[in-house]
Amino acid sequence: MSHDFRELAEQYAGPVFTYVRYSLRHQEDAEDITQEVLVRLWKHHAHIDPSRMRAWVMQVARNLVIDSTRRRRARATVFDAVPVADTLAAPAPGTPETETERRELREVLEEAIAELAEPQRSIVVMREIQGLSYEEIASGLNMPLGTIKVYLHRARRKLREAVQKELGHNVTE
Amino acid sequence: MSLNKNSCESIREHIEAYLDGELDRNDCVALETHCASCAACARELSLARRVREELRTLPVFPAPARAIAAAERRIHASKVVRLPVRGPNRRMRAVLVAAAAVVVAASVWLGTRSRTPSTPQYSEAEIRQATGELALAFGYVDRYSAQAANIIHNDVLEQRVAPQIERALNTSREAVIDDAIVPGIRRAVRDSDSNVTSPRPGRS
Repeated sequence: MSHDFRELAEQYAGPVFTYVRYSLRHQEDAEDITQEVLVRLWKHHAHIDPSRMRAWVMQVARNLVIDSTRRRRARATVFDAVPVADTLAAPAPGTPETETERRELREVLEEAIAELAEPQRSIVVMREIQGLSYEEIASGLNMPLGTIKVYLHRARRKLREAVQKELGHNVTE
Repeated sequence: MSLNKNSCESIREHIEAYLDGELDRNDCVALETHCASCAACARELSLARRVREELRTLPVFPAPARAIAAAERRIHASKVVRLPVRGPNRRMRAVLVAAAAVVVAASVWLGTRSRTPSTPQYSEAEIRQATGELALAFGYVDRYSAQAANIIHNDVLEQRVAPQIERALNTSREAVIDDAIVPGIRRAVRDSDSNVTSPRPGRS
């Protein structure tokens, strides 16, 4: 059991965790959801078409993210404290101004990604962060390739608008 | 939607397709010409490039090993844990009922043995009442055991106590009966014996 489970975990845990981590921006919640997805995957994997397993896994992760977001909104009305990202990637070396700008830009982008609706968020994470091809995303999300591109264009535009709104026109090449 | 080279909105709608290399040659030229003469759209194009560039440097997070290990523990525990959904199972219930019956019978027997036949300290009605109270007490034990089992089960479903449950299940049910229930029965027998043999205050 352990060997098979480890194989499944190796294949899916990373993508799921990255997606959930960017969706919720909360380390512990992301770990909990990853754990839950793995348990459910193990429970049902014998009945899932292997070619659809990634889509199945991402669907379960998305549903759990939606549930978690609802719970966190309910909690936020009481505690008003949603943890922010604590593991931003270290910026590339540069002048202090450049580093500060990049950190701000990344912060705005992470927030904007978390604010995207589904399936735009999944597509952005899979394409821009995980570097999957359009074909892999279309297969993984069980959507036509053209639809994936349309969603991705819209998502990128929203991200751009969020950066403009938060940082103005100072952020350019 | 086709590109309108005179509309900033249309140009901005097509910036992503342009950067993806999906526009035909004419549309590419139209977009580039527009951006050469429109500072706002040129900034938009520049920003789109910068956002893409930055997005691709965002980190991929490897799943923490503890999340995988926790999932593995839960899977293993789910193969072992078979807690009752609604209280003790039939066998356990039968054991509890039998234990209650033994306690009642023992207390009645001990009570009658310790009294001299000619001068009984308690009437049959009082013994019946005590027996009833004892049965009632065991009823409560049964009921709250069932509730406790439900709480534990729900917690397992909530995935909060699986590791502890896993450890607890290493103890056999027979051992639980020997270590917890039998001493409890013995204590109950001793208590009921002393209750029956010692006169209650205010009675002669």
